[in-house]
Amino acid sequence: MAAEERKKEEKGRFIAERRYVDDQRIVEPEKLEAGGVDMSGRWGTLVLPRTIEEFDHSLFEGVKRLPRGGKVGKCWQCGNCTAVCPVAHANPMFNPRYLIHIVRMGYQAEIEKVKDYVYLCSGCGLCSAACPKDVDPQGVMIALSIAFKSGRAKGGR
Amino acid sequence: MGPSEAVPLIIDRNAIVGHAAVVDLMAVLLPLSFVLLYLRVRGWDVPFTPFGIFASLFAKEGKPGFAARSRALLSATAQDILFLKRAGGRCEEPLHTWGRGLVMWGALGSVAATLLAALTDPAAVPMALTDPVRLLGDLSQAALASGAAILILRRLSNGARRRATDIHTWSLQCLLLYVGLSGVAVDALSQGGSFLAMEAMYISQLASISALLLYAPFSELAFLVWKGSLLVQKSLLDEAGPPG
Amino acid sequence: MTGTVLVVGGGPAGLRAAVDLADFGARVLLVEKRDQLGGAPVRWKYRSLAPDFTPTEEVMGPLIGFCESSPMVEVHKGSVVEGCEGSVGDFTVKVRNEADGTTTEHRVSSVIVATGFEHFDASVDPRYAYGRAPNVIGINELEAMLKEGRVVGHDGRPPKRVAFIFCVGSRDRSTNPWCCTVCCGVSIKQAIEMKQTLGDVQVYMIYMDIRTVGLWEKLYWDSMEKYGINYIRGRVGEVYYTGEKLLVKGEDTLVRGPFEVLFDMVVLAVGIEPGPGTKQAAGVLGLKLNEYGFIAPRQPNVHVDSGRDGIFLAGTCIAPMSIEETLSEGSAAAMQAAKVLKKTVAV
Ligand SMILES: Cc1cc2nc3c(=O)[nH]c(=O)nc-3n(C[C@H](O)[C@H](O)[C@H](O)COP(=O)(O)OP(=O)(O)OC[C@H]3O[C@@H](n4cnc5c(N)ncnc54)[C@H](O)[C@@H]3O)c2cc1C
Ligand code: SF4
Ligand code: SF4
Repeated sequence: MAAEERKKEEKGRFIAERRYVDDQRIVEPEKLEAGGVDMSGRWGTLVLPRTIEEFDHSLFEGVKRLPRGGKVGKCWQCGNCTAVCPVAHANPMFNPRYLIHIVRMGYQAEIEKVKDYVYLCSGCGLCSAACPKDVDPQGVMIALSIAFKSGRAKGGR
Repeated sequence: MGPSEAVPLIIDRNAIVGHAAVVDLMAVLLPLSFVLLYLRVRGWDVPFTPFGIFASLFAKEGKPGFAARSRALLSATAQDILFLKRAGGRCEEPLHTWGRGLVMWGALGSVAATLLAALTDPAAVPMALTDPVRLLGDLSQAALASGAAILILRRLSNGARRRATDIHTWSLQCLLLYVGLSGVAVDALSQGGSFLAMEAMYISQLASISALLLYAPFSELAFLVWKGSLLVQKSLLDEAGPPG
Repeated sequence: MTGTVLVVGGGPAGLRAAVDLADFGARVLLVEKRDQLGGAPVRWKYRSLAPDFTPTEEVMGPLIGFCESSPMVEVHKGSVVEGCEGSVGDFTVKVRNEADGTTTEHRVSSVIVATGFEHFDASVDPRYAYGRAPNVIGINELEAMLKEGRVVGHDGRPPKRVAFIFCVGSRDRSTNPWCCTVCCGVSIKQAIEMKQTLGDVQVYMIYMDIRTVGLWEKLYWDSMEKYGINYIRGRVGEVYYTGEKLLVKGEDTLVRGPFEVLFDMVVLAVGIEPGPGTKQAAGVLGLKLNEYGFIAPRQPNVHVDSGRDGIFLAGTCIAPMSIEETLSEGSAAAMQAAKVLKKTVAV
């Protein structure tokens, strides 16, 4: 536990202006060798850009096929679900509208950052009652919970 | 049958549906239900199934031993599931939390009462009204019924929520309500109703329990069980370290 | 006194006015600058009309056919009005044929101005690489491709991934500050048609707001729900041609995420702006233009009234609008001309 913590704190310690960079974007290979020279540590550290370079809908297509995920394609990002969601009011990392959008567009780094929070959904169904497009966000949260663990949803097709 | 003759409850009854038959029925349905649950979850193509928890208990790797893991499992289950600390803890609607809590506690209590009654000598009936096992059973079934009623009314009372509710949610909640209500009714009838009415009620309760067992793997319950065990496993890993 | 009405401009508004007046019993002098009647829908070969995918011919065909064949309508194509003297009930106008330079003189009772719009020229805004990079086209050009049923890039291959950029030359301080009102709906209509034509294509709508007003909203819903068209809220900062594909730089404002994504084709939802024809007609007829270059009615809520007695307005020369509105404006202007006729001739 303590070791884990330290590792997290030290992540990207070689980066100048470290606080500019998201944890998710720092790549530090445990061991990196080039031409027999040990390149791990400082020289192996890589900072990925924030720029979105690809739209990838394979996860989204998978969600559509999961139970109660079928209507997710109707979402137009109005945020009504988040507005009424008790969990979103308590924790900014859980946001049903946002989850739907990043999954739709396949923003992998964002998904990595927030996906574990999907399990906070209390299943109260307030969002599904509020949604103007009949997306059933409560159901979509179920589908997303499964999709984030599912190989099929990730593989697409 | 005179009203003074208390009727033996739930388990032993050498009446229309005998004890042995009920045990046989459950012996078939329970495993079937678990298998169906397993298959459904597998159908989602997720690596984790609720049975994975037991696997992580027995995992050979990792420092803490079996005992430590079991303790962690129990405390995680108690915190996350029994006391609704995780998902439920975020719910700002006390009514909703109560509804779900009552259903869960009621269901667990009913199962416990049934098992206890089965373990005690079935011949030693009738059970007195004050018998703790019987009390537990009655209270549990009442809790189950009122919890389900709360959940249903909560959704019925708001037009938008009513319309947005999935058909599977309705079916599941109504089934739970019926299981609880019929249990209470059987017991009430045993105190003074006609024998036939009580028998009919008992049979209908058995039918609803069977339906529930067969339906649960295809309802939202499958997801709740899966998610609940996933949360528990996460706590388990956090507390005891990864199994491998 | 004369029973003839001059209609300037042979687009939907002008044609509708001409047909109504001829039906009513008036003679119509229809002056159209181009060599073809029908206005923008015919010039740019619209495949179908929003919001219901009505084939353009179904709406425009009968109007054009009527004017071309009716003895009540005298059509002057390739011509413009050069002079206008007199007052309501008795104007003398000069019509010059641009091809042979001949001028004819006519006496008319009133004038309807329906000179329409031009598309915003996207090469004015360097952000979009229009005219510099291949496969960057306007929605006006896409209409013709859709009509042909052949949507391809410059290499002849159908695009796999297409971005529509909304509000090009609209709602922008550096170009035109107004909203063109139809281009959201038209772009969405085209995106749906593109899906229908190509099947295997990913379409992305990069928008600031979706303004599918009134019943056009259905287009928006259907595009998402039935055709899986993607929407990205944001505005594009640059389109860059890599030599093979188009790199579109923008921000997805819903996630605070700058993006740089490659596309095969970029379609610009170019806006509506007043064209030189409107300026010319307004000059000859002595009409006032507003700050944007559209003809300013006497009172902004009453489109038909030009501020000069006997001269009436209709259609997109006043403000951006859809064909359904344009057609009603043509009829409304015809009614005003009919009132003048009733006062001066028919009684
Ligand atoms: C790409 C695109 C697609 C569209 N699709 C749709 C749609 O699907 N549905 C819909 O409802 N609306 C649509 N619209 C809007 C529609 O095109 C206009 O509402 C309509 O064409 C306006 O008609 P109009 O008669 O006012 O002008 P125009 O169509 O522009 O016609 C004006 C006519 O006047 C002539 N003219 C101009 N100046 C002079 C002059 N000085 N002397 C003589 N003649 C002159 C022009 O040559 C032209 O023929 C679309 C617009 C765009 C930009
Ligand atoms: S069902 Fe889940 S996502 Fe929807 S409002 Fe309730 S907690 Fe939020
Ligand atoms: S309320 Fe419905 S449409 Fe609006 S963001 Fe949530 S899921 Fe999407």
